[in-house]
Amino acid sequence: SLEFAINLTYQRFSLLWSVRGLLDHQEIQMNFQIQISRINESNVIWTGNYITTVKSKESVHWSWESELPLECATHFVRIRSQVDDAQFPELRSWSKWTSWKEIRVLKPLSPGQTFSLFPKDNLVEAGSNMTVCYVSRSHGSEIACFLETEEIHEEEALTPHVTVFTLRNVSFLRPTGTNMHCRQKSTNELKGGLVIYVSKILEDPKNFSCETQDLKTLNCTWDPVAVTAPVNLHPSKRVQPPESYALYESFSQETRVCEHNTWCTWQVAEDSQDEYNFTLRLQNIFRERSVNLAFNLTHRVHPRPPFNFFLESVNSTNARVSWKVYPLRKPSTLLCRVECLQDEHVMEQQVNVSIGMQGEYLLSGLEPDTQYLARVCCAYGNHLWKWSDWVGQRFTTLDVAPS
Amino acid sequence: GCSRDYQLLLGQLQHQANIMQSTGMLLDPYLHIQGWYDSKLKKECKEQPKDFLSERSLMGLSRQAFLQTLNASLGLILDKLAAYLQTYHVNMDRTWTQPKVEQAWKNLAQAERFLRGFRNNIFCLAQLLRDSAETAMPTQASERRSTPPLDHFELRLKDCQLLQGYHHFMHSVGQVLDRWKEGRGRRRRHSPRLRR
Amino acid sequence: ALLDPCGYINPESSVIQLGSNFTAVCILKEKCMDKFAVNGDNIFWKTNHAAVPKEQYKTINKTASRVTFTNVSFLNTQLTCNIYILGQIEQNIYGITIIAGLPPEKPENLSCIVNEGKNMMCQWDPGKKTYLETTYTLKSEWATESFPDCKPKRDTPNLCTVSYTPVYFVNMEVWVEAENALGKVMSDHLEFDPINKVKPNPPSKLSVRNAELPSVLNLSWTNSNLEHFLRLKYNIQYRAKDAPTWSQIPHEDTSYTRDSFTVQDLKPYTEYVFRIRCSKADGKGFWSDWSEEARGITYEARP
Repeated sequence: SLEFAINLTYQRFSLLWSVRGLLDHQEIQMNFQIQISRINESNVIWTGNYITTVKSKESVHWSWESELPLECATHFVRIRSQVDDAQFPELRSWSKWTSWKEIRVLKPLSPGQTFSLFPKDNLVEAGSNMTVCYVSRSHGSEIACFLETEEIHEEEALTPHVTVFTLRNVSFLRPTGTNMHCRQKSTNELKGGLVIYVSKILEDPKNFSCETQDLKTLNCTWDPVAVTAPVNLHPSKRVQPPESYALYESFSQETRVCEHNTWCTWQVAEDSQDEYNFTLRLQNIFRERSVNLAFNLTHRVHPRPPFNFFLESVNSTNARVSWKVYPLRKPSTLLCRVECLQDEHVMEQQVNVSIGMQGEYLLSGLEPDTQYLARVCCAYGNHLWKWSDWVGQRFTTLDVAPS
Repeated sequence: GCSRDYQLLLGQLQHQANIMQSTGMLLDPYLHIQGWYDSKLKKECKEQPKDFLSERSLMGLSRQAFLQTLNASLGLILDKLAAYLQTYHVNMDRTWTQPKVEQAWKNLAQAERFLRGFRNNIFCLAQLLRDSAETAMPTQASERRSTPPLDHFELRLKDCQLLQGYHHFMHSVGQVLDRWKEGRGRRRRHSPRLRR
Repeated sequence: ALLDPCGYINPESSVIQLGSNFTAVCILKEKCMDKFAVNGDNIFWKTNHAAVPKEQYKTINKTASRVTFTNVSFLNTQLTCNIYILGQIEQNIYGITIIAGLPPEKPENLSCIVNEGKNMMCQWDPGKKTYLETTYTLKSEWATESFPDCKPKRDTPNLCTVSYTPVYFVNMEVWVEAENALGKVMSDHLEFDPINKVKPNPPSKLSVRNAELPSVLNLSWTNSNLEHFLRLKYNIQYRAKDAPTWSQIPHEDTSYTRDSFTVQDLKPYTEYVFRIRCSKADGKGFWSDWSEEARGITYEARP
């Protein structure tokens, strides 16, 4: 027996059937031919095959998406089968067709309703074609329909009460969707309408890059991508969730869903490799976009700025600066650059003060009673990629003590 | 705190009601956002009698009951506005394709603040009247008949009809307030004496 | 390693009121006293590198010395505690910063203006200079709702433009709170309807056209958006091109909303300059700026 279920959101019906005569635990590959007709049984619109392995006492499940909204026409389905298994070459003849199964959306028009357009609140991607239809208790030819302000002319009367339009290359007009409505020609009375939500085509993410401050956490960023989800002013009725972002790492084959649409973090495992190959996946219900980035983790270190920056023993010509740096996971050294500026003129620049976790440096040859800016920044010693931000402090050397 | 000046509050409410009669405050921005402003669909936004009390019914209410009814109606519109604006804030990074739509969102945001100010004045006038011992008569909120789930087109139509009705309702409110100003409210021939 | 200080001063850095007295104590650490063979007697104080007179401080025990300043008048000074090592090398033990100033005065003369199309701006008189980091906050609220605090920009500490657009016909309450390390104070509350604080945009597109009579010119202009819900009044001024002073149309003739006016009793065949400004008809609020000037020449008188 053939059973069906209708899903109007996706304009799809699913079929379920079982095969009799299989022994227990027997598995057999079979080829099922499926025919679909519309309006009446003789009007076959689709024939297809579905090859699958059938197990005893298990149903076969198959579904079909209709380009014409299911509310607008009754469909009929029948199936026949053929064993397509090398174990049983002799059983290749086709079975008889099942009887036609009628697939009808019950009551497309609610009580008192004389007209309705379908599919309701549909979402399509910009540039695609879409079939719209209406069911009308009165004769269809007395109805005029408009897409926004333009009348739609290429219509096809499927039946005296069902008319079909094909909207080609639907364009994105506004986030709140495109409006369609129909009127009684004679009276100009509004019969009904539709909101067609058109989703922009998802773009590729750009400027995808990753860096780490501590060899423990990777921060990946990319340029914002145009939002494609439509805007619906009636939160009670969902239309489409916004795009989703995820990071996939090929060595570990792990995937992480990102909560933000321009950045994402990735925890680096303790004993993991240095080489990484990331794929940023951007997805909406129509499409997936991705971009790759392969790199060595230690070549992407952008350290945090030093902290606890102190100036002490300031006298008329010297000052001792000291600072601390945040530890990195692996034993490593940081290169630090100390600068001493006087009125934006760099008085002294020192490089390569490699230290573990603590830095100290003596600034000498300074002028008495003069204001300076002392600052320091650091970079990853093993492979210099980016310097950290500066951290520093203004100070004034002491006046020369009276001799 | 609230002003204790009955005539001042009444004058402010009159201004607010007058301003709110203009469809430019709410209905037009809504239509721009939904793409109905330049289409024939705009003509379908006809008010539905069931949405708001008629002027005759308003005239028959006591001042407190009138203020409560007005407050409830503003609350209904404010809830809708809050839902619309939530959508806007969630999509702040969107380009809205047309400058008119961008301006429409700003108008709705300003209308929302304006309505909150309107309710502020209602609160203050109701407080003033309470102090003048005019007892309040709670009005039944119209019970919501359960209707089959509406699709987005029907929701848009229903909302624009509601907003159209609201602007007309504001005209009726203005008429009632004018009568209060002339001291010809339903029960009182003069402005209420304030207890010191 | 960091220089481990040989002592410390109590209190740490502090803010005090100008004219008050201030006392601090410097306490040496035992290990330094032993290392440098010094004690409380060897302590001497400096303010901004200048020695403090000996009479202002005294040793209070083996490890400590107390310094006192009366009727403080310095605003911002570094007080350091020092010793002589080997009797001759000056060594700084510890230093604190003392900042002196005044508590804020009650802000006065709070006033607000709503330039049409812009957010409300309020300003006030902060009173005497406090010499301290003093924050001013403009507060505003309705009876049923309060609004975000308005923090003045650093370069205009006594003026603030609120972050929300004005809502006319709703009374609001506005006041200023001033606070620094020495105190907090609040201005009087101002209650008003923003509609009564409006400075309208001036009438625009002022144009002059001839009338039939040589002594008459017709003016027309476009009002600001306020005309939709406010009654306006105008000042219309005119003068002959080279005349030094302006004549003004009588108030009673321009006391209601309009967008045109006929100026009479002009000299024939003369170029006139016109300007116009508007304000709320009931006189509450501010006059707009003057409009752009417009010019017109009266016809010649018929022989």
